[in-house]
Amino acid sequence: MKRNRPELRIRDLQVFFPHKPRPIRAVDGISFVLHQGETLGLVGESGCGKSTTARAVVGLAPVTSGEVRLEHPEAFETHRGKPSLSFRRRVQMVFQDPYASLDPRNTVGQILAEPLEIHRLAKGKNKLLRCTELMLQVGLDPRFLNRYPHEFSGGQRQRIGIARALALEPEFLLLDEPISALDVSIQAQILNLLQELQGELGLAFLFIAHDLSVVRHLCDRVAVMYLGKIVEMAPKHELFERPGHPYTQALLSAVPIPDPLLEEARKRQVLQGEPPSPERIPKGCAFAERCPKVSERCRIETPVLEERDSSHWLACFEV
Amino acid sequence: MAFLEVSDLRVSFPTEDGLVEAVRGVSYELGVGETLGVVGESGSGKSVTHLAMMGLLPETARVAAGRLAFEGEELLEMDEARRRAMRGKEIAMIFQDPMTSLNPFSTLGTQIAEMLRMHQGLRGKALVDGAVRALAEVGIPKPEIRIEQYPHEFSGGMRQRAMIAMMLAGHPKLLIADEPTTALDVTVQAQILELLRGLQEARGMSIILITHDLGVVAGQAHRVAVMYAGRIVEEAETRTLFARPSHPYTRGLLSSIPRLDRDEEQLVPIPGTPPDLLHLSGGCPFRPRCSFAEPACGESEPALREIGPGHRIACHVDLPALLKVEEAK
Repeated sequence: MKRNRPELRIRDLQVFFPHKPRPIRAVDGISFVLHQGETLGLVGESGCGKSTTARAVVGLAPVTSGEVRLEHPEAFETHRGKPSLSFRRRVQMVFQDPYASLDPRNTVGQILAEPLEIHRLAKGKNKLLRCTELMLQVGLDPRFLNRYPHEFSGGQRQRIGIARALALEPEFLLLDEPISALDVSIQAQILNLLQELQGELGLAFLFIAHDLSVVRHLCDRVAVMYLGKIVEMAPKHELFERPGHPYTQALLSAVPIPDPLLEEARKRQVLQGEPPSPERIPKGCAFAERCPKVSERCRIETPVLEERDSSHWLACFEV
Repeated sequence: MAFLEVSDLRVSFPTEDGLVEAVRGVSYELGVGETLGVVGESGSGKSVTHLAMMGLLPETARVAAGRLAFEGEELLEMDEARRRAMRGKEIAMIFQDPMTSLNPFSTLGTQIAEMLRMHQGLRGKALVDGAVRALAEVGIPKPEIRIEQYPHEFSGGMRQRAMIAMMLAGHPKLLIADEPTTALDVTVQAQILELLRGLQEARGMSIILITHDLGVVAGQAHRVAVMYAGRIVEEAETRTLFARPSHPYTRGLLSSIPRLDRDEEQLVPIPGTPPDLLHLSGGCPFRPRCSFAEPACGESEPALREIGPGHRIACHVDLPALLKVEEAK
């Protein structure tokens, strides 16, 4: 049998949350593949389902239907909401808020050792050695292992969050807005750290963000979500230079650029309205009511994501 | 006489660990119809400076200034009644979270009517008409229905519009906007920024836009002041600031952010972390993070000095000259 490189396949994933009178369709049937060593950006506005997608992949949100499949040289495994211990070892998550995601009552040493204990990967002296190594890997002084999270700055805490995710030597890291809560001057430090770690360890990243400038800098491919669905997915340059979906175009045109001359010359396409609530997803294309290119068909049928050019996927009737 | 004149403004707070000086001598002027962008990270003093201007700081705060004058009138010497009358009528402030300004228990119409009664002396039916007009002006659809609704019935963007409508009901001459779009999605941010630009043109208002986002400033402000550790470290016309950033901190910020319109090989982060205001060591507070620091930087804190027309920096190093030499090499 052919030996595959590790990859994470998400197929027809739906995550609905119970709600009256209709369930909330947070993630409404999305599929994508995360390949070994690459960075896939998952972007969209609040409520589009990007974080819920990642949480469902690691078993922190219920999977309503669809599956998550981890392919590996030796084996593959599939889960529909309850990933196995070995899946969780290989797929780890880093959260947005470094203040909320670290237990304030534990020292950094305890925080880093916990996954090693749960997965029975190291004991005694080896455990301490591994924790020391992790601290060095994320640029922190190992002497701080017996300090508590509140003794660190926001940037340092995010380094601890990254170290914890790396403890189990995962192949896939799901990063949920890992720099959004940090000061501007600190964000670049963390972005550079992530790039270094990826180079060293061959990690694959699913990078969830609302900041498209950061996504352009970090990602190889980008998927744009709107109301629970992927509306466009393409290699980075393709997406930023030739955005196809009217929503992607509007999103890109709304991002401010730190250059006054450019800002003055730019033609802005300001979208009207706000995304509808995932409680009440309209019939047809969910973007139709804000779309400048809307046609009759868009209000009746739902466009599916299909490959137009090589690796450029689009869900739109009018492009 | 400047429209707004701030000179050597200082704000400190007593804490358990001692007195924290959050604003350490801020000076600037603002003209009529001008937008000043105030940029800085958390703890830089950008919000505290302007809360002090509004008289909205807690009573424990100690505020002092060489001069803090709005249209020639000294703000710190006013009695509380005059100050309250000014808030909303002459100077208004909007915040990142509209719920800090909106009352959750009262309809939007009632809240706007309150402002119209207080600041424009309207009564009766004129209040309802005024509230409807105010919501229409900020682009809220179906204003005659919306005035009957409570803040929780509005989406994030609409709530921000409603707050702007309420704050503008007194026709202030100066609007202080503190991170007005930070909590909003980028497409909604674009709408609110466009709205602010339009309102400014229509009313000839002055705006102080406080933000951490250099992109927002680039498209919105005429002039920019960059703050660090409670002081302005660089101030210039927007174009000048982005074309020739001359304080190492400003340069550092600009080279540490990725851009939508081009590929960056590698970001150059500013090393270290923002300073702890309780333990400033004397000398330039940016020195521990600065790659251009000289011995003089440890000895005294640099004052703002003019390096070009309207372009000021607080730095001992002659960065523009230094960079020219490097370019020549």
